[in-house]
Amino acid sequence: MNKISQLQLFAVMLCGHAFSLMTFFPYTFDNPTEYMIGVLISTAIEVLLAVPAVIIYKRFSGLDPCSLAGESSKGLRTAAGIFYTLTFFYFAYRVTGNFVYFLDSVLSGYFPRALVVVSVCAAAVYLGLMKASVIGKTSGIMLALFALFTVLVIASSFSKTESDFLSFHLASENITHGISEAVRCELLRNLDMVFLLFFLPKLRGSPVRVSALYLGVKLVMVELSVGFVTVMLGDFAMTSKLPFSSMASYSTSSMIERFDAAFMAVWVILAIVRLGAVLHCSADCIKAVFPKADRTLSVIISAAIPAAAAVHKLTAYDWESTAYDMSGWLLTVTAMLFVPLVIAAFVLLRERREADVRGA
Amino acid sequence: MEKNDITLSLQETLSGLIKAMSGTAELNITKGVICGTPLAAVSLEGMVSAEQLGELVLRPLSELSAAGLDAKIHVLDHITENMLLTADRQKVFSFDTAAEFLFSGFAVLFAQGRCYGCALGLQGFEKRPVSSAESEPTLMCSQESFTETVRVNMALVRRRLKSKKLKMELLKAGERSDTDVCLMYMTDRAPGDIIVRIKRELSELELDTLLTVGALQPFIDDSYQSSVFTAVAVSERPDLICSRLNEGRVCVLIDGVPFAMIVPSLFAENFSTMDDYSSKPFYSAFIRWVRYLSFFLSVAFPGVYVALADFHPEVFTLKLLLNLSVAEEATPYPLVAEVIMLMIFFEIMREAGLRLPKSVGSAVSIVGGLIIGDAAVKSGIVSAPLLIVVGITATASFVTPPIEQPVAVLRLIFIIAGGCAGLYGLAVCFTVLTANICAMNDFSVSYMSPAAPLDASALKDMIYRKTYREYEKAHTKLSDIREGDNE
Repeated sequence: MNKISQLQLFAVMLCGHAFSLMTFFPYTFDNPTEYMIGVLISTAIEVLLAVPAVIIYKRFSGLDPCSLAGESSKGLRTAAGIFYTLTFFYFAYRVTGNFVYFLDSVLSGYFPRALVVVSVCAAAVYLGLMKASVIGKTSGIMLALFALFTVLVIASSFSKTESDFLSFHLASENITHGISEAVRCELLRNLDMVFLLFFLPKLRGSPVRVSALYLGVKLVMVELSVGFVTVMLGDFAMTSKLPFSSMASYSTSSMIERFDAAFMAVWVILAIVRLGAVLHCSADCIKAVFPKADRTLSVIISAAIPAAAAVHKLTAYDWESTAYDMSGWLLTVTAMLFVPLVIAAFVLLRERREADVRGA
Repeated sequence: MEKNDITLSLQETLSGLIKAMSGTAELNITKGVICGTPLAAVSLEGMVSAEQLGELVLRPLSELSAAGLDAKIHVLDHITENMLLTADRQKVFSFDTAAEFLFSGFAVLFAQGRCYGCALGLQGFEKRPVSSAESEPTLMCSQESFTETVRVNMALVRRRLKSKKLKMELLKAGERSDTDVCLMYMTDRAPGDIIVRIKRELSELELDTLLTVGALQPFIDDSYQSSVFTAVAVSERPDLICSRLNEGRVCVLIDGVPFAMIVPSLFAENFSTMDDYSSKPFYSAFIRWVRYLSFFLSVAFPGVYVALADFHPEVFTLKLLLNLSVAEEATPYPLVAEVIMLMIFFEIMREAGLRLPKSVGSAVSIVGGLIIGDAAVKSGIVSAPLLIVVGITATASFVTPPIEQPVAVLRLIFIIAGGCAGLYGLAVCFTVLTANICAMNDFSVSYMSPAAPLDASALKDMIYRKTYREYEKAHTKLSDIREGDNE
């Protein structure tokens, strides 16, 4: 059964975004409030971005963009395949790079970077080779684990730290710029939206409901998390590399002194799930370009090329420039809005032409 | 069409039968003349009840001889058609069929002048009586367990489930062993495709013998090669089998095996016992969570301990950290080596306790657990806290016996992962394991059901035990969790 349920798709996407959330808060802002407003606006934009995916799904009987492009012409399918393959390569590159960089620089420097890349990619390849429903089920379990961990950390930090609600201020040199930056950051960090395009055809349920559920819960999750971290850590939240990890470090209970090790475990799990989903979709795209391509090989290539690029950048100690570079937000918009619309236009044009020929 | 190689000559028939059965030593042939017709009763030593053969067959035949018979009627025709010697009586026309009946504990009568034999069911082989369940003991439920005889096992199930919907089909499997296999299911609840699939696998089975449940599992369990767990559960409890049958599962009994296979099964079922359904729901829920915790401890506790102690000591509170540090300082080997050593030693002890006679088996735990453990700590080879960790792990592993095999291997993998890469390694292992379990989807039933995919209603029975009032309203059914059915 290769069908994915609404909740499972929701879990896949939310796990991906939870990884982004736990990794870092973009620290280009003067204060967290700007970022929270940015998240709200970006979610509104994402609602608009989800519309083409849903409309195309309904209008063209549940085809992903590459298959839909194939309805128009072989060339268009190849072009769409190449575009989305590269999108997923970039996605995998960012996930792998961010994961290795933050693991190495903040959490634990015990393991060689190459070994971390190999092990995390191997686990993600294993997951990526599974059916969509398996990725969905795994994500569901991991999401529950993440929720449990978050509740535990928040509950444990309340007991030790002083809550400072004055951290929610809007003192900023250029608030408009700050908010627009936040919107762009959030759009890039929510590249998980692209999963919608490729998992919707395998969906058992309503695409509207799953999109609404994801965007709604994502908004609440991000706002609450940023809010809690801000209350706990103040402006330090914005300067700390891994604010969620910092909060976990502050958390304590009579049984456990610090929660940052647990944070790392949950973060690793979310990274694998996110990368696994990326590789799964990437293999679908490669199939659109090379219809006879072996799936296992496609998944491995989808992991290996971005990982190699990430390692190259990491070994040059230049990852931070990539990690905090948010110019890739246009990719989310292009992949979710422009390319699907162009493909749909081509297909509609062809349909009309065929209808004219039949009419003549 | 059965070939007819039994001849009119009794002598030729017997010679042919002996030859067909490779002159096997336990062939027992009793010859006599009844009403002037030479007749022979053939049976296998130890397979038929000598007492029943004498009382139910030979004595009436002798009396028949004394009373005389109408000359127009052949004695074998009379026995086959008119005499009620045994409940199970069939005509056989070939040596192959005769041999099949003889191997199943029948006695076969042959007579001069008739080219068929009469098989009479007189099974009387030695069998183990129904005894208490040793691998799945319960406190407040039935104490009966399956035996090695398939027909006794069928009766044990039928006695508890007197429904016309319960169908039992007897099939044969094993090219040489020709083992009786009983397929049991509720006609109104078991999915047809599962029944068809099992029947097909049994008919296509090319194994010479079928001596264990494990021999059949790979042919029915699709994820047998790819997963550490198995979606085909095994039980020796007739009451549990009845409960599963009622849910719509298909069960398989194999002659000579005191266990039944349940197809398909769920991961969560490894944590429930029949006792749960005798206790009050609050206690059942509590004890079920104890089992979940035990599963976690038995798989991950040593791995987590190694990971935390070696890579993330900041997690421990200061007092605990100091105690652990002092204890570990005194030992000569790395922590991970110590844990692996102790866990392997534990597996050796467990295996020794299992293989040794019961009277000696308990001595192993005394020698291993108390004497060697104590000496290892005193001599400074292993630390005392580690021994506590291993002890807790070992005890926890006894709580979930159905999955002790995968747990033993997973535990070692987790120790190695934790020892090599700390919580990072454990997280990677955990994710891969979860994906592996989630991928099990035999017969369109997710092994992780009802947690993944999430089924809120069925999940209740996983988190706590439903009350009987809830069962009254809606019994748990396989169709509720089958993904194909729910589409």
